[in-house]
Amino acid sequence: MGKHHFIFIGSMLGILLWSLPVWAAASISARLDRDEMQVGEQAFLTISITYDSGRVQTPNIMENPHLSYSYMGTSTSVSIVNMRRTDSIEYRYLVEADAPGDYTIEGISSVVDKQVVRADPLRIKVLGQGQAGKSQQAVHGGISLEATISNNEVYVGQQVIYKLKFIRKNPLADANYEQPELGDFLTEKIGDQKDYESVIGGVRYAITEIKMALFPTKPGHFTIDPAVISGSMIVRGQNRGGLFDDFFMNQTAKPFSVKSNPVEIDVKPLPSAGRPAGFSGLVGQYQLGYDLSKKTVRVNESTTLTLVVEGYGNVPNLAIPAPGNNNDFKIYEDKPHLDKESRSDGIFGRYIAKWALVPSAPGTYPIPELRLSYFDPETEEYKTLETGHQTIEVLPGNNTEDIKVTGLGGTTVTPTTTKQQVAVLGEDVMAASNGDYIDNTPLNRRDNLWFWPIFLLPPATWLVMTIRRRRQNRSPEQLAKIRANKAYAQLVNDINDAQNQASYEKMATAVRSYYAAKLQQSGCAITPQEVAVILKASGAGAALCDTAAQQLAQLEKALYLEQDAAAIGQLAADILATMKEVDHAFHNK
Amino acid sequence: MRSTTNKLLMGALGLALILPAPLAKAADNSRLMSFMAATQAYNNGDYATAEKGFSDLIAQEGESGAVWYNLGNTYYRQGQNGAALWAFKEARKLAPRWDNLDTNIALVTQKAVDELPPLHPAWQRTLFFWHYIFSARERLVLLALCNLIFWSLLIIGRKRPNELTSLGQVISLVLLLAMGGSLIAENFFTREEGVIRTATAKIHSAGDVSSQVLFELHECTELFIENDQNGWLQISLSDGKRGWVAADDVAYRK
Repeated sequence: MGKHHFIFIGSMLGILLWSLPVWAAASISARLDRDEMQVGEQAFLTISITYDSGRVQTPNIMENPHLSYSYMGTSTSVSIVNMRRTDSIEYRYLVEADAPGDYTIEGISSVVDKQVVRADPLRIKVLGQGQAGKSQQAVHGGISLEATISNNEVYVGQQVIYKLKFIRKNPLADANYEQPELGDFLTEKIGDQKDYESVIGGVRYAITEIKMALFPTKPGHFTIDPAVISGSMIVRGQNRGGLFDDFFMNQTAKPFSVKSNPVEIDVKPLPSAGRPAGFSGLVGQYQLGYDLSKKTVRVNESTTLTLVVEGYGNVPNLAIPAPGNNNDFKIYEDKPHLDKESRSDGIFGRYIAKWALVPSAPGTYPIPELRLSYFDPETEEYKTLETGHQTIEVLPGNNTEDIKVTGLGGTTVTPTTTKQQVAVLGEDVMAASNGDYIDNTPLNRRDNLWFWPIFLLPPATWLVMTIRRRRQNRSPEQLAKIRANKAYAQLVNDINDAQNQASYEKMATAVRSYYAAKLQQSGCAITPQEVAVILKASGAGAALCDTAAQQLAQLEKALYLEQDAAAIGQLAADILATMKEVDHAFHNK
Repeated sequence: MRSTTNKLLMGALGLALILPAPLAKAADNSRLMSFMAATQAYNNGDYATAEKGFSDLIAQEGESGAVWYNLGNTYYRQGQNGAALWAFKEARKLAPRWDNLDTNIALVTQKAVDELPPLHPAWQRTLFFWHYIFSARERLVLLALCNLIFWSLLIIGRKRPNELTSLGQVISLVLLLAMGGSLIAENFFTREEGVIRTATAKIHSAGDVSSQVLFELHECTELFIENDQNGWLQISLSDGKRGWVAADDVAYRK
């Protein structure tokens, strides 16, 4: 590969890279800060251009003999999202009109690196001086709230624009807006509130506009109650003219509450004369457009029928009935799509529905016709939009898709598929129950009666069995230790029994058993002398050792010599007292 | 003396267990008759009587999956789709695997206008499937059964330890915890749900009609109820929106 080849390839790459910005994304949008003004007032026009890279030319605006545009400056910004840089540039213009009328600012465009971008046209209404609303002619107390409606006589479902204009001279510290009750209307907010300034009677006022689209739901005469705005505004206090008076220190917040005028509206019922069958309640002005992606297809190939209905009106009611049952096509419906756009003159809706049509046999077939009826309040008549009569040509499918069946006598038969989608003819709930699940009741108090015993019994059983097994598996040492711990309690019981039975023998056995248990020995043949030694080894005092030994000796003597039965009680008490101290001695050992 | 006392105690315990049974059976028969009467009214097209009959049954602790289902149908026939959806949801708590109920819920749900994520996201219904495919009573029975199996295997495993009993212990313990956790969650952590029953309901910032309207909801929209105060309900939606709505606009368990 020679040098010339590299130069050629490098040039091609360079051209490619240089031309890349042409493919970069760019967009333009335009907005006005108000859609109504008087002759002599101004509106601000902002044109925003967003682009990835390249050079941006100053926007063009189509000239209008009654409108003038004064350039006010630009501002730029950059954003980086997911490592991708996007630049934005805003151009601001002051728009003035020299005559009243309804104007369209159109032809807004720019060139971004040889790519032409265009913005949607904007509308503005210019009123003559003296044509402004009442509030603009007399703003009493420097504040007012005016409610207007675009049309006082409408039909059910017809869109009307409810506008609130809040005019004040002083800036606000805070404000709270109470919307009137609009229970008999469906409402949609139109854009964000617009803030601008205007000069009325030589005084500059700040103005805020709020717009809503209202759709009356029933006929009658309605009064829309006043809206209320309350809060506090910043007013300048009296300047005493002192040397140290500060402009900012003289401002205070003054509470205010302003109510708008009520608005009357008459809603007429839609006429029944001329109402088409299947009318859905759609009111407004609409247009219909449709497109078939392919007018010639093969068998089992699909073509997409796209339907677009757009216009102004009660767009939530926009819904196009699906094409009906059709033997010529399998019809698959895509989820329809409704876009709502808030425009200055109302809610604009665009409904897009798509169906995939898959023909099953060759031939020429009509496309299912679609119809949409609506009521146009301006012409006061029902209109129907139709897709009209269209056909599609279906060619035989590819060989691999044809299924050939060998019939009787060896002849080849090509089956025709006659399957079709199940048509939905209606909808309803399933039949009432005659007792299925009558016993499926919620949990109640009775459930506690059976649940808790059943739930606790198994673990209780396991616990009892575990304890028994552990007791059975105890070692002799463990058993001796347990016996030693219980020795004193056993002694008390045995002494009391012996006393009750007046038995010196049992008393002696009880004392000997106590010592055997404490010493963890089997058998109980301990002597008084051994008792004294053991107690001494346990740290008991000499007196205690002697007393315990003497008591045991006394018991042994009583076994062989006749003793007074009455004395056994005193002896038992003495022994218990002594053994208590002995037990303490063993415990403290 | 001690044996006589024991006999008396055992006799009293036996009576205490047996005696409520006839009373309970009588109450069940009465409930069934009321149900059949209300259903007959529904089939005859007398929806007002049917609605009263089913509502009375529910108020008198006679509710069941079938009662709520038929009440839902009654509401549907009267054009109250929101109330119908709420009744069907209550029925599903008691009879969660009823195909007819699923069909009815799907029918009414598609009439909802507001586009919102479901109250119980799909991952939750998949991960904790037993909470949704078994009613509370069924889960309680399964809990008792798994508990019995677990402790029995524990006892058997002491005497004859082997891999099978160990595996059985693990499985029954897992099921026990699953059912127990589900019942605990239902009793302590489940939020009450409601359905918008009016064509449009305005959601305010406070429980006061003069407060700011934040947004509007439409019939058949499902929501959570957080608080109930002076005829207003504090609600939250599956997308996080919150507000106050008049209690009359919502179908919920009062």
